[in-house]
Amino acid sequence: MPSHVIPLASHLDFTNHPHHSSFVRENFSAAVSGSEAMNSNTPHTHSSTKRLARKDAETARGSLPSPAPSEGSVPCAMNPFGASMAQDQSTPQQSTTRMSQRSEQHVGRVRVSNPSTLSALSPLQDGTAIETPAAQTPTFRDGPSRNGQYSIQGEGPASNQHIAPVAISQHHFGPSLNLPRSDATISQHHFKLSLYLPRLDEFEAAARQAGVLSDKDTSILGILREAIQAGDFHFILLIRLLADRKTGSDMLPPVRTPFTKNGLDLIETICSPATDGSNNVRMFLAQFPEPFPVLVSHITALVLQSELNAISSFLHQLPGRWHTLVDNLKRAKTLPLPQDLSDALRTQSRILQRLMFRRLQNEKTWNGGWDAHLVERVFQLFIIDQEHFFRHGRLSHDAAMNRRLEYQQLLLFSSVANAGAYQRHLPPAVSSQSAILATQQQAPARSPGAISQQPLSRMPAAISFSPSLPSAAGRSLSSASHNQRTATASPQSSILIPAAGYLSAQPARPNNISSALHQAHLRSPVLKARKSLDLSVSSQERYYSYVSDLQVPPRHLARDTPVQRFSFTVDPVQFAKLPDTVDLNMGAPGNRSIDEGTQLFRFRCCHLPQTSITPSDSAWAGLDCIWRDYIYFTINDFILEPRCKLHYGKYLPIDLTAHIRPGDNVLTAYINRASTDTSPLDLAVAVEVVGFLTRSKMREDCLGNRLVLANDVLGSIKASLSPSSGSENDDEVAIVDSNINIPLFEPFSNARMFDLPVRGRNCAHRQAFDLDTFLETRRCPESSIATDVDVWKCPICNADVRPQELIVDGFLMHVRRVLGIRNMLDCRAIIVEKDGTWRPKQEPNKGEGPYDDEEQAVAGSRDGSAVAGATRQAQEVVDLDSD
Amino acid sequence: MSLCQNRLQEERKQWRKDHPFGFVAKPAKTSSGVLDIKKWECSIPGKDKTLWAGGLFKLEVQFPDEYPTKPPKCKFVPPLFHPNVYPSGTVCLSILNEEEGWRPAITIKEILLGIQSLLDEPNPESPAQADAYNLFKKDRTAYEKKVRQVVRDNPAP
Repeated sequence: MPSHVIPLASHLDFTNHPHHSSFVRENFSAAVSGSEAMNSNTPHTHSSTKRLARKDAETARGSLPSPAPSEGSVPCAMNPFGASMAQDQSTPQQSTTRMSQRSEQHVGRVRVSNPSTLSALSPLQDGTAIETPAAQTPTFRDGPSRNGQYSIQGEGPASNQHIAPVAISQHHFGPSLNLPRSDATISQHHFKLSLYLPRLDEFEAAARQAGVLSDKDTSILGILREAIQAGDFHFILLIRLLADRKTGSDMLPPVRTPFTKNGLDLIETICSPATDGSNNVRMFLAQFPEPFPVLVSHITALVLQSELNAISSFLHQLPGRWHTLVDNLKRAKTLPLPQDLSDALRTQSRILQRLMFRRLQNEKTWNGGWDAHLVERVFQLFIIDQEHFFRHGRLSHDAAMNRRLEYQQLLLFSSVANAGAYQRHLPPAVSSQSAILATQQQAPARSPGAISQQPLSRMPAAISFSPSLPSAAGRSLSSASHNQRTATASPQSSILIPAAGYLSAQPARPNNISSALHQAHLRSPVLKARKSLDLSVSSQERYYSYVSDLQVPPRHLARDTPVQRFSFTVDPVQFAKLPDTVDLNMGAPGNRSIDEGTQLFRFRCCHLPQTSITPSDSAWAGLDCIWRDYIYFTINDFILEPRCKLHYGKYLPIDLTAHIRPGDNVLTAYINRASTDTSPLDLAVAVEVVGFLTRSKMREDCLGNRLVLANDVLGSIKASLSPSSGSENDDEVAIVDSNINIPLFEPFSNARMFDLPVRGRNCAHRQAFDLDTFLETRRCPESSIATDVDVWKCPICNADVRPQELIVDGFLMHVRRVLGIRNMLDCRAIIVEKDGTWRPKQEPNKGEGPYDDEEQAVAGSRDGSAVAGATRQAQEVVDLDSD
Repeated sequence: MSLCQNRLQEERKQWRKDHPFGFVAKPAKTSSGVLDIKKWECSIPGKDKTLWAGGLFKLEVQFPDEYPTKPPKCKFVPPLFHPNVYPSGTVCLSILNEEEGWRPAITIKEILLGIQSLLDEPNPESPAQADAYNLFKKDRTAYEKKVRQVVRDNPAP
């Protein structure tokens, strides 16, 4: 059946026409609950419309896989020593640096057995790799760059962290201190970071007890703990420098080249999740693990000095490298792999890499509205890659390419709809390659070099340094509620074509010029005024469209009948009223000429429980249109394409006019539900007739045919106020008062009395609104001579007030006339007693509060003589009315 | 004067005449010091005898040109920790939704009172931010603790 194409096409369209990412967060909630779905149609995102165009352009550019960043600049992917050869062509000064570093490192190795820390942050680590303890580790294969960290990194359980990326855990570590270490490189250490864990614990416990530990502090200490566990001495030294810088204490030994401000500023921003704590914590960081004099006694001044020098030169180069990397990533629309960070930024610090990744994740360019869960899961991907990187070296070319593509897709999708919808593409099922990674990661755990004696159950779960990381990123909606919608999605799908059952999130205000381009042929024709021979009718007069009749009244769709037909007859007279659709310009929407006699046919499907009786015309008019993707409709064998919420913000009725023929017409519904779908099919369809009225005609109709005489209105007011009938018939409010308050000002401006008081036949209130003001505010599409069809809701109670439902209140007309004679048109309300008498309501004499920002206004209170009693009474009346 | 401005002047007049205790609502000033009648700066106090009592929360209300046919957009500044407040601060409330509960007759007073009620009666059916929603659903104690913190951070004068 050709209609199968429809849903598929819409998915494709969806992927090809990304929406602005900043819509996404708010959109998501719209997708989450049907009832709130339309909510975001309100102009929540006005401010971002300007950016929209630019963003879309960017996204479009980025939608094709572009070369991954820094791929070309990394010759060492295959040849671990290629990089170091390249490095050897560095400036003479650098070479000297390296020479001296090598010798220092040598010293370090002999004395403190801590060579690894030397080169970790140094731009030269690739060179030093040749003689670092990498050779001691059997797992060292093709990754020259992780060597710097290697010996230390094996020490902590961090190497196993990939297994359980659970949120925060802070208590798992204490006992592990007593565990014997089998790692050869570690046994050589005199200086073990892990020995300082108790210090951290102590501090944290004390601070918590003192109640000075904010959430942020906790998370900072969590990061520090991770750094300790990962043996990330560089990172600790780095945040110590930053803490030093903030506290202003100058505890540092001098470095060869002073720290550059740019570098420090940048690293401070990157590390802010690990440093922006209270003073207490900062002081602690500035002294951790030991004050400098003590520290020096542990690891020798020379080593410390060289560490600081390495950091200094790292910081010196960082800003330039960082910006190049960010530019590259933006161009390629992807996120970095650990090896990219290592190559481009020369950092071997795990924790720093993670913070950098976090930082990049939050880049505005692509992160308009990530779902928080997606941010976390992408981050977990990074952690997995990082584990792989530090254990086995670089990802293979293919794996790296895959991961980059995956990031690209995620960024793309996250800006199209809510990324949450894409979640199922992510771990644990992710792409095949992360499964491979997972198995690879198990292997080294058995190799002698890296055995961790930590029982599995104690595996640190603190991979993600949760809660206070810069998550402006994607705090969005709970995936929990989202999953309700995506629960049925099957796991298989390709990167571009969603799996069956995939539900995409609802954009708040889809711009259908771009989001519904594939349905350009469905655009509504432009309505023009038919040239009239009667010169008294201005050709510019506006027409009011409304559903004037039902050609096929609402009929339920039967649940178990796959094909259902609804026939209706259009007699020649009626057929003559249908306008032709004229295509004036190729590609432009069609044109229709209308006048008051014109009719259109349209088709709607609405939610209506099977058990409910056929709704009244008014009730039907109040229902929202909805289309289901498992139901297809044809009219006279012409396939009808629905316009759906995803692209238009709401489901639009289908115009049938062009497909109607004189005589018998057949509308057919094909229901193609899954055989397992046993949910009720609570839908009804109807064919509606749309008519057109001018304002003058409407006014005429109202006054001539639907004027309720003053006495009738008063009669019904009196009846509702008399206790006997009131309490029995009115289940809404128990009337205790003997009178009723009727506001007179028209509700739009609320600043003047109505001219012609109207309300809906079904309105329960006595208040009326002004016909002309109401008509003026009806929405009218640009370039059309007629208003939208569905604009007939009471401004006071939202009831159906289509032209045929409008009634004129003769009593209020009378009231207006009397007040006009008495020159009291500024009277806001009247009070009607149960005997039918009425009087203007006294304004409570409260006056107006002061203008705090401009001169006193002229409009003061009206009646200075109001007494307390009147005020009280007035307030009571207000209470009654507010129901 | 357009209907929109007309109505807003009237809203302002009515508000000064009478408004609920503790609430603030006034047009903002543009950078050049002129009143911007279409953008109001409001403050909503937490309701007495609720978790939110004692707090005062700043709200920006932006009126579209089509007001009152279309509802204003209400935004907490800074964004508020609440299940029905988007991360941007925008309030998710049916009476503020043109397709749902909005009616031109709804006054600013009613809007502000409605939002005040929403504070202590979040609607878990239409979550707007993950942080508050998750906590509200999963750990009510932590949620309440956080709300108290928010109230402490935004004390009524």
